[in-house]
Amino acid sequence: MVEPTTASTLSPELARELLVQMVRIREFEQTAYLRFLQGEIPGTLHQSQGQEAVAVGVCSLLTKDDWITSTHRPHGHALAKGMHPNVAMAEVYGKSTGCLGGRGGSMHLGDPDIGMLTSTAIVGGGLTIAPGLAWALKSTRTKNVAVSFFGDGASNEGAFHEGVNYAAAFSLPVIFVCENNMYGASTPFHEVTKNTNVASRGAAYGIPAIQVDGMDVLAVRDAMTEAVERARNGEGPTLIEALTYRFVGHSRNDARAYRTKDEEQLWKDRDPIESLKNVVSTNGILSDSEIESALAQAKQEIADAVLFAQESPVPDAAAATDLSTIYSNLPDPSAQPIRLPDGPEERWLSISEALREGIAEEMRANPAVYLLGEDVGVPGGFGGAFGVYLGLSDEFGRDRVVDTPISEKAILGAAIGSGIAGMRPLADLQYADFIYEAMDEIVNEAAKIRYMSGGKVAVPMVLRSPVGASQRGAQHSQCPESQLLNFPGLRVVCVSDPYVAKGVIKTALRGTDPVLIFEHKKLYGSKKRVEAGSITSRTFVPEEDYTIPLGKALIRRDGTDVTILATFTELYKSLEIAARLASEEISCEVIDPVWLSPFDWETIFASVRKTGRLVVAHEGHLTGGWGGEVAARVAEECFSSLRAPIKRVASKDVPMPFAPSLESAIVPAAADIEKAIRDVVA
Amino acid sequence: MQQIVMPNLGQTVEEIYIQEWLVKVGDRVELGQPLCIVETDKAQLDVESVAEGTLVRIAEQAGATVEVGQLIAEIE
Repeated sequence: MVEPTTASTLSPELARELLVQMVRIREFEQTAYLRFLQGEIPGTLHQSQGQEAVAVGVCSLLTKDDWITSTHRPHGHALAKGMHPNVAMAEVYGKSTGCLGGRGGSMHLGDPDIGMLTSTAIVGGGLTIAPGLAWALKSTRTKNVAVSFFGDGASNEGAFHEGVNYAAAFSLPVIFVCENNMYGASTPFHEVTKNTNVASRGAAYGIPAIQVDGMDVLAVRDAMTEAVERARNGEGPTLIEALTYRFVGHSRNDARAYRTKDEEQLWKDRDPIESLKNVVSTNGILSDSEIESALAQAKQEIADAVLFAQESPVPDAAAATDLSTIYSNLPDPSAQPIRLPDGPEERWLSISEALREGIAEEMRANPAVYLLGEDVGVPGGFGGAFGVYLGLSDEFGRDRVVDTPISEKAILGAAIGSGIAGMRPLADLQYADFIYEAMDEIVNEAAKIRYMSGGKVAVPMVLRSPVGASQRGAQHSQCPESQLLNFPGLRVVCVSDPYVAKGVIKTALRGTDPVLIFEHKKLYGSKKRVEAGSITSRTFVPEEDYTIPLGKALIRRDGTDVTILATFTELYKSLEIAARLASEEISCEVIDPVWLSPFDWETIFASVRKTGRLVVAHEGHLTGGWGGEVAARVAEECFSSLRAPIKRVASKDVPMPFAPSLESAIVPAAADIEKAIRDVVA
Repeated sequence: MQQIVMPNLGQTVEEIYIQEWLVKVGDRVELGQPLCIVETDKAQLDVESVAEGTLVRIAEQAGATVEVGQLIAEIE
């Protein structure tokens, strides 16, 4: 039990520090607002005047080795966590000297060196990532904690449920801090929930929760002291709800007509800065002149910060497209296209076996590698939906083969957070269709964090997931790989054979970018679970360690008349047709792109320049499929070499039906690919 | 010398009428202190000072209609 901090236990040093910190935030916010009105700051501002006691009370108990995740209203959190006002202000100004070099702006302050993840402007976005940060802190046996700031509005997001439950289930050192300022933008919280007591929701997850006066920095500190102690002792997360109020609008030009002046006055009378001043003054903790000097110090810092921001240069336009800020790992320009090696029959493995071997080798070599997903390690369980992980929990234990709740957002958030904080997570989704549950984590966080941080925060994480029609209907058949190409920051791989399977999992786990690996259900060759219509994809897989070069295609067959670019089952259909057409003197070059991002344009262009003809075959839908992108690029780059129109063969634009007769009417058949080939060589 | 320009007070407002100046040349002004009262087609609002110092010039008098971004005063 923590003794409440009273006037008699508050030291002059701490009192002064808390006061300076709160005034620093108030001055920063007020000054930025006025400068914004003067047209000096582009975009928008979300400000926190009135909420200073929460940021300062919470962060005053953290070190730079503790992480925080913040929100679209991050200025106070950043300053309280130790960000220099100069770089914070410069970022708000969009200047090159800002903490993110102008890539973030007011909503995205952050700096890993002070333990602040680039703040997320997606409401609730940090709630699934903080458990991941905490996972890494716990796994590496530090005593550090992760704090996730969020608002009352975020408590109604699904991310709140998934993130809090995940942290609770694994007793992770997370402190969830709700800044309940009673409004989500202009909407009163009580209008959109029957239970406005956010702290009471802690009971739903079996964790301690407390409601505190968010206008009283000492009360916030007391609650936080207890929560931090609990987290550091391995007793799991705490939910703190701080009742607070923003004195200003939600964003710029918010005239606050949805609140009464009386209500605002009631809260302004409880100004956290004035309250602390009263406590320290009436109890003689600081003299009037000491208080004045504290205020003057904070004011001067902010005046200096404005000058610094005003005088800093705007970012050079070339910085916007600097690839090294988007990806940690770039293709080796000297790498050659992949060729399948040959070897003894006893090393001809299935994709399932090759993946397992590659994963196990990486887990033995690097203690930071761990698996997380549904049904991956339970003794007597599935070993993953297609048995890829069978036996791994016996060897590595269930701390490294982690059975998660059925919470896709939390799984991806945990992977992202733990990867950022030093782990090498391999996340598993049982069916690629479930990726849509976690699109926010993948698209808004995994794909963006490195870029927004100016390359300072890498997001090493790998996701494996099965795609493809296999008599399971519309929600267990989809191929999402094409859609994911539209998000710079992600790497996307299609695994169609065992040699690539083992090598690419190693490439991905040794890299430091988010890599999404898709595999086809009919190609696993799993002994435990044989799919109807399975295709044998066994190839020789070297026993020794090897990786697959980033961004290189695999040439499966050399030819001179037509280039066929195909993945998954379409690849095998194409290989079969190519073998057959050889007897008719039609020479097909069959290429598996392997990486859809980064795409091996060089190899494809070279092939088309040789053959003059291109057929692209994939199971994903025709419209918006990656074949369309390839067709456009090849038409742009190789137009003079083309001797026939480019043909695409893909699934019809229909949700995948269940009945085998209906399903096969949608998925491209071998005959469709053959017809396309004959059309272009005619 | 700090130039004070007419702030953008609303997303659609372009012209703003200065109703009354609350300070005069030579006055000491504080950060955030209301300088003048203005009217838009939507509301009556204060223009707050973005600087501390002495008001040395009023560039647009009460009764003037000015555009967003136009110089209205100078503080030294």
